[in-house]
Amino acid sequence: MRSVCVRLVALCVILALAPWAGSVTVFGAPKGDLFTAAQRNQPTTLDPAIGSDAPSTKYLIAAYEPLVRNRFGTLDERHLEGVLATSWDISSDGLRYTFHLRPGVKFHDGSQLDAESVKVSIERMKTINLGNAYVLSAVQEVNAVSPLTVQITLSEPYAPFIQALTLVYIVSSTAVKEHQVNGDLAQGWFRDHEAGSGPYRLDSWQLGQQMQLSAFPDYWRGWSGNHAKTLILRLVAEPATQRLLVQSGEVDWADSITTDDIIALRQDKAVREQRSPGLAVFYLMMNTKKPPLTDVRVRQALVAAFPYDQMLKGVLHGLMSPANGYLAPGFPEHDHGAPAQFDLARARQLLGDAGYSKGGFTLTLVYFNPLDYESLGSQLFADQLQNLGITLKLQGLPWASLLQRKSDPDIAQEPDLVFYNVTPGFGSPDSILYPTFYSKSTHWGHFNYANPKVDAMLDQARRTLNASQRTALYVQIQRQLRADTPGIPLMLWDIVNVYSARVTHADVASTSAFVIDYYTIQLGQ
Amino acid sequence: MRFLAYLAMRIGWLIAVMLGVVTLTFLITNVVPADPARLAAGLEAQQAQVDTMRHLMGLDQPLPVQYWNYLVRLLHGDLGLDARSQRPVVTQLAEYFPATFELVIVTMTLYILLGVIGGVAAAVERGSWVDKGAQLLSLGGLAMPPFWVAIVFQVVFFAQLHWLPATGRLSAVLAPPPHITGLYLVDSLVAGQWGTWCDAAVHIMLPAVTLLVGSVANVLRITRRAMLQVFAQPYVATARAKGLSERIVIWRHCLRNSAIPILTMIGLQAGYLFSGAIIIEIVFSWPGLGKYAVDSIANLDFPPIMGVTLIVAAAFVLINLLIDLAYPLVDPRIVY
Repeated sequence: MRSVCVRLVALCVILALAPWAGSVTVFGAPKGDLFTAAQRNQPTTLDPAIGSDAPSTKYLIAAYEPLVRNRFGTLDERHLEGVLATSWDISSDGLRYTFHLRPGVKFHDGSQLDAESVKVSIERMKTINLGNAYVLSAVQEVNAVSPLTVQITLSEPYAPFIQALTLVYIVSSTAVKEHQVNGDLAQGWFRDHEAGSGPYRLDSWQLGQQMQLSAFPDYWRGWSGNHAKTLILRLVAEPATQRLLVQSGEVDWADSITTDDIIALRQDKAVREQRSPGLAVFYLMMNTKKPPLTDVRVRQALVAAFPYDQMLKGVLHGLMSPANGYLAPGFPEHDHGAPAQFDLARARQLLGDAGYSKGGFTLTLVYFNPLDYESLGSQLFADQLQNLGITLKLQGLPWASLLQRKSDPDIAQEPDLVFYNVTPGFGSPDSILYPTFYSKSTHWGHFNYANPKVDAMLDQARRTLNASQRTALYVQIQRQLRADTPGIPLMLWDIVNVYSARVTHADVASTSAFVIDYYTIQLGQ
Repeated sequence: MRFLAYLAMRIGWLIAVMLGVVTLTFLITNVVPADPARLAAGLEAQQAQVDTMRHLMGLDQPLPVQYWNYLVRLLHGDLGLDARSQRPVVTQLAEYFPATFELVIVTMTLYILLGVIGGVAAAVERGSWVDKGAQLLSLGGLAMPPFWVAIVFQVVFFAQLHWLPATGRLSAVLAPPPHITGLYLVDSLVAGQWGTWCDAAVHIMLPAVTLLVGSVANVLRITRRAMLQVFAQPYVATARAKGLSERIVIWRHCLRNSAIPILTMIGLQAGYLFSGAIIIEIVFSWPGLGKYAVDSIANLDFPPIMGVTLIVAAAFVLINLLIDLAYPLVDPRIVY
């Protein structure tokens, strides 16, 4: 029998060594001008008219371009830069936008950028009516005035429109016409193919594995410098595995490194951390239609009872900043206020004023259960509320159930509190304030808050073309929100990215955390 | 004829089981309190967009109509559309299934080799270091969560030793072999791409061994126990007394007479491997049904959830049917 055991061991050894017979791969080695990204999810479709989630955005920014975009680090409309448009004029009534297109831009299918492509792209997106199509709801018609001039007419003034166009990617009209089947606007084809003008073109997409893109030789901005010439976007779902891959240098950037791992990796010379102020705000939203939160004093008491420091230092390891308003300071329209302070005595006093001096009520907080920081934060909050005689029931739910629970038709069944992370879709306060605080909003972040004054100001801001007047309106809105307290702006997300050490430079896309502008990547040795 | 009648009865049961699986999964998916259309339309979607998506997904129909439509489409081999990508679920499953299948096949091969041979060795060398080692390994395998084992293997064999890759089916820079079966180890062999075969083989090692660690204990213990029971039978003493070599006594007489419980365990385990592979696939970024199933469940994307459930259930019942049909081959006393 011993001989059987010996053979078994020998078999294992042979099985273990056999693959090396023809291969000398050393796993974890960096690879020249190849940039490899690890992403937790992959896009479900490559169609720029439909893809709007984070995985889609991470791909679309490589293969497609919009007419305009925010320059890195800015959100000010005055610093908006042309991408496929070189300049634009806006009529005094705010209804006509005329774009002068960049000459000599080629799509990956070989066709030239022209006004027809812009017209087809916008009309196609509006007709499909999915993804980011909501930003085009005011578009009445698009006209190709000349080969390189396009005019967009709106049915009503919509001041954030120019900023919202950063979400509208332009596709080759030739590709749409060539691949259209039964009037599907080439949706079937664009699901797996691309015809953009971006710096990288799609070479292959192995579903569930990776996408490979290569530098487009005719890209209009050129390729001088140490740009990445090949991009591989790999699906790596597990954050712990992402960390190992970045540490080993097998990937150059990963999108889901946990806060604990970011801290741990600071000791590692093989990686480089890049941190910049973000635009996303982490709120605790309150159900303003459900007693006792109908009383603003109770809501203000909760603001004073939240343990900000414990959350920031103990849970988030200092990787966020205290929020000092309903918008991130990166917005020129940000109304700078003092960050909320933990003050149980004040909370007790406010509860007393509202007739709840001994608390005596129960609140329900729902959170997205995979997020540790939401779970830990809610437990810290529950401990403090207990000191005020308030019981906080915690419910961690998966995403689908959380959405449903929050918008239960019976208000008594709705929770009282919910954590809400919001990243602006584009560089206007409208993209955060309108969906979250407009009374008729159907966005999941809206939690029954209704103030006709705020509605009127949000509507007016959309119609106000003068930037300084619009800023004044947004400041007023934020002050009104501070008075009404429909939520607690808890923290500001800083954008923290971890790269392999050979990445010497990379810009983050302006509004979105964890989306890299791949063209700006510079690779060292 | 009796065999054919038995086979027909089993296939009838198989269809009944699958119908039950379809109905239960349909009901469970639809009673979850959530709105799949809102999830599929995206967080920024306005009500009109959500309504468009609801219509596209067929969720604006009454539940019995949705169920009936699903059954009719299923009979035509149509599993519906994946709401998020708008691709046919059949196409998606065809993309993802081969990776899971390949992982399960490799794991099963190692499972049978190590589990059965290890179990026989442990029984023959009862009380020796081989026996104790096998029992320790099997207990350890049962005690360690596969998720943890997977990460430990990645840390040791990828991050520390640089021997094996941590993720994927192939190195990122390698193109997959020409598609024949979708099994990279087979396709690369057929295409004569030795480099690709080697790369695919090293990539499958860690996920397969991780799956193996958690499952091999069962067959090892069953084999050991069955062999020990057979050793006590008089015909084993007779065989030895006749002067048969120990190899023939163990492998031809004892193992064959222990085969029924071992086969049963292998059949059950093969079914469990299909579902158990899901967590392992996520840790190792193995592009099989795992991540597809998890994403579909998180988004309540009904057609893919049904598709994955059906494929796993079908694998489970088919494998067990084959095992049942194999019983007469190892024990002539069983006649259908």
